[in-house]
Amino acid sequence: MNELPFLKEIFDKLRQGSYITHEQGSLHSALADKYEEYAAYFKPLGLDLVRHERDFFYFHTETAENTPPPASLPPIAVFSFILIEAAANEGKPVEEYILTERFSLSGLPHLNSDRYKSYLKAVGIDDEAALRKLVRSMARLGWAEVFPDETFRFLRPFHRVFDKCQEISLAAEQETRSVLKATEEAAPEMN
Amino acid sequence: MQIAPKRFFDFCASHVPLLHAIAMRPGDVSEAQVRQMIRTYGDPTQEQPDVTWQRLLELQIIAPLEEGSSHYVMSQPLLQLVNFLFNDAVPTSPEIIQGYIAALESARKRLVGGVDSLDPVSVGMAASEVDHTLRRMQDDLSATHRAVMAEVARYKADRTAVSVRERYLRIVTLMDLYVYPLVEIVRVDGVLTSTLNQLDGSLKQARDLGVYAEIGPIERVERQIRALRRRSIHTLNESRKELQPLYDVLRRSSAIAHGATLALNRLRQVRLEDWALHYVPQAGRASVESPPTDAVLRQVIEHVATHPPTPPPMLSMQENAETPPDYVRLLWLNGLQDAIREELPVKDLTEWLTQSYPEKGTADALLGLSRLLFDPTLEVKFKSHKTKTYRTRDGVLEATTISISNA
Repeated sequence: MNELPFLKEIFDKLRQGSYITHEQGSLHSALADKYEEYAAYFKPLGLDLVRHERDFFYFHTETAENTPPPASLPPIAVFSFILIEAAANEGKPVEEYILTERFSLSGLPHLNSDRYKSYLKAVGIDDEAALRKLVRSMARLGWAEVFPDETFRFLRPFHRVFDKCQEISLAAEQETRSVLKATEEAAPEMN
Repeated sequence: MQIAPKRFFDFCASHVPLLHAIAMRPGDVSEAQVRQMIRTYGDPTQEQPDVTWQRLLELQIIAPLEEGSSHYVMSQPLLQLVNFLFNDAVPTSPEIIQGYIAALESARKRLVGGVDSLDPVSVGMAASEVDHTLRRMQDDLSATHRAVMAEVARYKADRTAVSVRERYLRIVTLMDLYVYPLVEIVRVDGVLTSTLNQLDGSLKQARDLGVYAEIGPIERVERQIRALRRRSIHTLNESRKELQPLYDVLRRSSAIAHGATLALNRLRQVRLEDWALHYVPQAGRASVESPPTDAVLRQVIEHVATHPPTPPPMLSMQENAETPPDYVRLLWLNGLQDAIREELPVKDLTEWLTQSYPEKGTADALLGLSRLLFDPTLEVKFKSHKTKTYRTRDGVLEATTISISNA
């Protein structure tokens, strides 16, 4: 087997549950160029290298599906869901807005509503300092990029949240449909 | 009362903003509201508001909802004209188009009946009805297209805070309630085409049999049919093309927003651990710290390849009468304690062992010594630092004197 370029760097990043995006420059282009070879290399280790349709990379493992995620992820998910809901309520095109806007902590909707605050509190986020820390951890995992003036933008891995939301919505619709179908079947025939 | 067209159009021309404002009001409008609009859009230096109000009534631009009512509606023909001029339109429901198709079918039957009875009057009336219905149908389909275009433009230009769900519902309603069902009706193998084909055949028959006195109107209807076939599909396809991208984007956005809201709501209802398991997208993690590179793999393979081979244990598959030597050794070791106990105390254990069992080799002698030295029922003492030599069957042991007695 030929030595794959940046193998150690790529592995170091991905094995921590991070994402590799265009922002990682040479790591991303190495993966993009030899995706099949990297995937074949990681496969025997039980690691599926996934290339998302939006062109970023991450590991998928069967164990990750069935074990609770690390403690840093639930707050990130709650933060993201709130941002999506607030954007949609304001009539903004959700994906375009979240992936193109540059955000600042003071402009976020998260601490402006009691309902949002209660969601955040459930995952241990109480104030702006905790939010700041959360954004930093998002940057560490490849979800966001933080600028020196403390503003930040979301990167392509945020699409995984969008995918998850669609999955949840679809599952709920299917559930509703099956309940309705069962109700119709159970209802006595009207003559 | 007969309305003078010139007076009517002169008034309309000088009151366009007012007419548009009235036309834009959904449903009926009260007298007070109309008077307010007159004040807003009228010019009192040119015309007194009360005069404007009277003109609106005289020219039948607005009419009371019912006799004596103080609520008014704009007359339907004028409303259509204003909508046409301002490119505003109401989409046509599939039910209305189906009504037109039923009307065409009814007219066709009367046409066929007229042809069979060679009655040019019935044929003429039926053809005229077909002509009228086809025109209205074409107008309504065009109105649907204009309504779609207006909604798309409104969507793109509207930056007000209308929720994604509301926008989605507006676009989806247009798409699902109007455009898709209409496309179903006007598609090539749909109901409309089949009705038009039959109608075409009946008109041709009327012409061939010479029932129809004038050929001009029949040709006009045939032209209308051709145009409707072509334009209806084109118009609706254009509408669909305009709506489809917005429909797709909004459908996705709506699903995303819906999913986010559901996930947040579930957070209140389940334990955080369970919630995280189902609602948090995570990437896989690896417990190994370094990837097994080529160099590492090569080293491992080399170690394996160069490791001295160990032959597998050979099992004797044949039974023989001899007692296995290991078993004999075990019996001897087990009997040593009893053997020495009869002679205790012994001043030199090694000497006793090598002289009592001169047939034993060095390995067996050492095993025997160990067994006795670590027996908890016996007590051993190392007598002096000076070593002595003891001969075994196959070698020599060198040791200090060890005495042994009961513990």
